[in-house]
Amino acid sequence: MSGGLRIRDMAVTYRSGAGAAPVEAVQGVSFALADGEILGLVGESGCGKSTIARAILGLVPLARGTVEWQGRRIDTLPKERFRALRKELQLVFQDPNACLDPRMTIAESVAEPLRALMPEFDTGARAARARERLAEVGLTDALADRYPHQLSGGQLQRAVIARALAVDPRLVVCDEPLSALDVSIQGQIANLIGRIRRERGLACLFISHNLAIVARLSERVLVMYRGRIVESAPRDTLVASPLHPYTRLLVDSVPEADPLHARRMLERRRRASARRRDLGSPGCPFVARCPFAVDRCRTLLPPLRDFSRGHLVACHRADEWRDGLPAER
Amino acid sequence: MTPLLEVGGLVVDFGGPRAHRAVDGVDLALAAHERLAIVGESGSGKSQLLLACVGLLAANGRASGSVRFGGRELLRPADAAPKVRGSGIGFVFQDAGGSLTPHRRIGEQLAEVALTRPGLSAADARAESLAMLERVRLPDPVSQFAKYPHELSGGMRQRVALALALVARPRILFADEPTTAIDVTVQAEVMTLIADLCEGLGMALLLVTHDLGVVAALADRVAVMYAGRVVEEGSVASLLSRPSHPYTAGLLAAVPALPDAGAGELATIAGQPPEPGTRFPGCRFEPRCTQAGEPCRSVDPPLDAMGGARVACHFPLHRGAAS
Amino acid sequence: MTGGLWHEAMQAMRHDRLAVTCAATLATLALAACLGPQVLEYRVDEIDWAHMAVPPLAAPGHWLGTDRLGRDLAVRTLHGLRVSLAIALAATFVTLVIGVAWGAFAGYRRGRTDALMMRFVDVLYSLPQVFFVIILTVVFGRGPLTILVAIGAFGWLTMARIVRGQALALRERDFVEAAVVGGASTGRIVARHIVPNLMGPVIVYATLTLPQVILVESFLSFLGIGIQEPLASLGSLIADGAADMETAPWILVVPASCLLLLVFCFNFLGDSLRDALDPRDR
Repeated sequence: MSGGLRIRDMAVTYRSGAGAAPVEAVQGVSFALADGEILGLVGESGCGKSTIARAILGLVPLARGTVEWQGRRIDTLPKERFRALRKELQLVFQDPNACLDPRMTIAESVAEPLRALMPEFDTGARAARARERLAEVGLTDALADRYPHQLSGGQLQRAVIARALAVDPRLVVCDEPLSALDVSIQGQIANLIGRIRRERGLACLFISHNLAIVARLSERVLVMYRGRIVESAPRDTLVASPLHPYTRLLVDSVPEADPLHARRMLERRRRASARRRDLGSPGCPFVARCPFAVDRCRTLLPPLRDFSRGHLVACHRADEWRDGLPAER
Repeated sequence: MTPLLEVGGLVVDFGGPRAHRAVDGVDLALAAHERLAIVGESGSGKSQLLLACVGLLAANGRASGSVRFGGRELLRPADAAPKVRGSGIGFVFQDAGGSLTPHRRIGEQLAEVALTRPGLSAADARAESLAMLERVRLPDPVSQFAKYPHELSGGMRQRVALALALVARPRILFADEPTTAIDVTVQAEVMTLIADLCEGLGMALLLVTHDLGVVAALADRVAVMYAGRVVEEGSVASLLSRPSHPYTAGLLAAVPALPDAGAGELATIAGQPPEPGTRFPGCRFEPRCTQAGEPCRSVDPPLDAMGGARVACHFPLHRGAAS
Repeated sequence: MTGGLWHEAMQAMRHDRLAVTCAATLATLALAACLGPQVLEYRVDEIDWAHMAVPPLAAPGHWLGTDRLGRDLAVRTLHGLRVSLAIALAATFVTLVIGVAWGAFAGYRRGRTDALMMRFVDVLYSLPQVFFVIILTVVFGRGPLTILVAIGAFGWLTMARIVRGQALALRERDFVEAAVVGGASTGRIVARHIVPNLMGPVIVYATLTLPQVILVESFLSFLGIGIQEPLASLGSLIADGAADMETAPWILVVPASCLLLLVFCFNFLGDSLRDALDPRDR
């Protein structure tokens, strides 16, 4: 495939403190995102999903692997050349309160990327375009001249989305765009993202720890655990018959507003996370919490294998449960 | 049977340049061993309600009305609330790990709280502290005793914070968003722990959260707050299955569930929660309500009893709660 | 820099009566310093042979008395105030410009650039200031410009350190990362995002630096290194007054009180400004 985004064997390391051992936040991740496709990436905090977002946008260096956009390798580009690419690759951040400069009005913040990335526009044209984008996300002109602290969380996140759209990008990475919002507002923003993506034909990498939201918005979903992808499947398949035990744990963890069901699920989840023994064994990273772990799992890292039409799993025992995971003992 | 905690007409005001009313007249009752959850979004006043009860409001906050714990008024005099903390009411904050003093050892901090129980010697306090660390399932409690907070992981600090809240054997545990800052798969552990602790120590629980899933798993009764008022209150079983207030119904619908058949738009409530301090001539929820009618714009609906529940709405979705 | 948050800070300060009083006092003093010498009867170096070393209100026209050379103390004090204020404002301005630019750039760049720039600051910091001033005075002669250079050359060091600390914290904030994603260059980020967001503490520090500069200049002039005749600064006036402290105390008291008032008002205003700009009340 020549278009779209392609990640091959990406690894990113962090040094958490002076003299501390480097931590591999992302370990050998590969996936592809076609033009106009929306791909969901789900996992908990610390699994490396935000790091992947930053690596794609050139904010952190790769320790290993490649990032290709439209068939060209971009992770090794010098800063100046990468800057030209920023017109096509944009990012929607998690906390709208933090990612907008408190000293700039909303309109100024939205127009800001146009300065560097679309220098053909003069001040007036930039301002007009900013207002256009703000209208597209449902913010009135009156709000455009306010400061971030005067707007609510939902309005701020709309402004952040408007800013990402200002340069007419082709790929937008959304890094936990709903996590900082109230539940009743999350739906508004999720629907907005879905609508904009459809209208503009954008490619989108949607990252979240909330499987329900990711599943609703995406066509395909990647599940990450401790820096690796453990399952990748089309949305319906993943939700209906997940093959990796961690995916099932995530499915079970989706909040339930039915009290009876909630309490049963609670017990199951508790048993799952209570199992926690040695970390850092060479085998599967999930082995300490997996109800189905066998000896092989402790010593050998399961590769991400193509299980069936587009369904990839990293589990030694996936073949055993073709019809879905058995109930836990 | 007098309730263990009785809140009557509680009003919380904040002064200063952005003066506003965070809580506008709340009545609640909590019986011994009961578990009540208060649900609301940003600006609902739920956290301020909790803080006001135990006298932990910010310097520019003022609480009026009545909060009675075991019959004793907590809002007056000024030192009534501090006396009740520790052995009367235990408090777990949202950033639980952050509520530990960084430069003192875990054991010291626990013992200090334990000693608020009258008639306990230093040796007893130490024993109690160790016992509580075991109860919160902290691995190897004896060696953790001498450690500083930064030497523990986030999850362990959370448990220590819980232990701190409980070591003086309070009769009620106040928990402010105990699961918000932690991973979804670890939430289950914490919730079960809280449930077990309440059971084992015979405590009542007053839980503040925005997460209906937590409410469903932990609470017996739930009060829904919006813009500083309680808009609906009832048993968890009936309220979550048959909500009467449109806001409650909207919240329930907005909880994202796994799509069972393809994608679909997420349900949402139009508009956004009002800025704290906004004045409303009628019902506070009216601007966002799909059921709003004429009286809603001009008359503020009172919180009325309806079956075993209470609702503040001119057009409740169900009349009379199913038991 | 945009007005919204400053406007709110000004609103907040309006309620603080002591701050308003200080601001009004400073404004009055500044006005008096500019216009006073024109308005008053006597000129700054005019000698009134008939009224030498006369206490305040004792002689017509000499409201605050005269010094031992018969020069009107009111005019001389206002003139001294003018000189002291001018030097203080100029020196603080220089400090601000160099210190902020240096610190913001070093803090944002981190790594080797930061290390080099801050080691340079450390080296300058360790030089004895008074010694340096004396050398400058010997080389460039005495006068306001020398003092200005001497104070400015050292004043920016602390400012740079403070600003660098703020910039280090700021660069980790999400909106800086957002600016990078938006293609902004380093210069643009430092100028448009880093500097405006640290101006709060910087302005406060500047208002607290001003009185310090005045005191340093006064001290140097008192030592005879700074301002010399026929110019007067508050410091040199105090030096004159100290000589006659026992026989004609008002010659010392008048300029000293003026200095005291000035320093107090600036300090208090700075404190009040810091409280008003504190985002925690938002």
